[in-house]
Amino acid sequence: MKGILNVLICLLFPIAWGALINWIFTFLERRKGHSTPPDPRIDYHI
Amino acid sequence: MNIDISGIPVNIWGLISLGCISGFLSGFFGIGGGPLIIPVLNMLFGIPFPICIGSTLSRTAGTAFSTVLRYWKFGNIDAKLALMIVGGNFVGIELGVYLLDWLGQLGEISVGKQSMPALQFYLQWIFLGLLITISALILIESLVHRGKQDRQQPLGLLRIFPFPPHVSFPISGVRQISLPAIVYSALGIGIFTGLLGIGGGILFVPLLIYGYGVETHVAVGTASLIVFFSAVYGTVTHAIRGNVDLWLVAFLLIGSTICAQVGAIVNQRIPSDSIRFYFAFIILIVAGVIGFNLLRMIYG
Repeated sequence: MKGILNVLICLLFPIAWGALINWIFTFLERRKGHSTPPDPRIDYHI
Repeated sequence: MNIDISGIPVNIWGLISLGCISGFLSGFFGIGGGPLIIPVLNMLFGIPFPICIGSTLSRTAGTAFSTVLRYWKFGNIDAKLALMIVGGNFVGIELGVYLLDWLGQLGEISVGKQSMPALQFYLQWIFLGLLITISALILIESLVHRGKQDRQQPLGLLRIFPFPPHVSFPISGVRQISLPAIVYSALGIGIFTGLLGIGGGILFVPLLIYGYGVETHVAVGTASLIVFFSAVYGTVTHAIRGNVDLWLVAFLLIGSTICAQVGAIVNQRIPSDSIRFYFAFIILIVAGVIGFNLLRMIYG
């Protein structure tokens, strides 16, 4: 049981960490007044 | 002029020169340079291996910091990407160290006069093969693009992964890439590092360029930030065990911090495809050192 929990932590922690870093940087970029440039392939006017 | 390191007299100018050469390579390629310095310190100066590893890691932290400052000034560091990678990488290193302990219990193999975990011995051969393959592929790719006017940037193989969530890195020129692809590839490299003690910048620079499609100059700058984090982590671990000799670190740092700045400046003046071309040779040199060590182990 402990082993399975360890594996789950090892698999989920990097994703959670990455999502947190992404959220922090997006937040900081928005506060600075500009965010990630829009992807020209995506139609945002839906 | 000599100083005493672990009871061994070591020439100061030799250390400063070694620091300068390794510092230039760190600054130019964004690598730590551990696999190149550690054998030289051990074989040429006769310094014990644990002291070599601990002190080299501490030197790498200082040199990488100097390099990071320079690349930051050039705007060639993607801190968001580096921090994301570090999360997966550290988990991978811990997993690698845990795996090493576990493999040690499974069975050992006699290599020359010493014994080591069987899988670790075979993994070193796999790592050697991996380095030779990577350097051959980089060499071919950079030679194909070298003569052309458009000087295209590699697209990034891991961009094809569709697994959400997706993230973007404007500084690196990466519009969209799967977050799991980033963190799990970093975790994979971390496992190699934990198992073999090698594979920081030397694997991260190709991963950033060919895996994620990061622009070459930004890849080198970002790799140096990742190397800095890893080196600080490694230094703390080794310092607790008393494996860091401050005099050795100080004399290595004198040469390496100055030459790292020169390396970073020279990097900015050289086109991306040429950097990739030279990087292939650095990987080959590291592969040569690992191959030499393996043969030395076998034939004593």
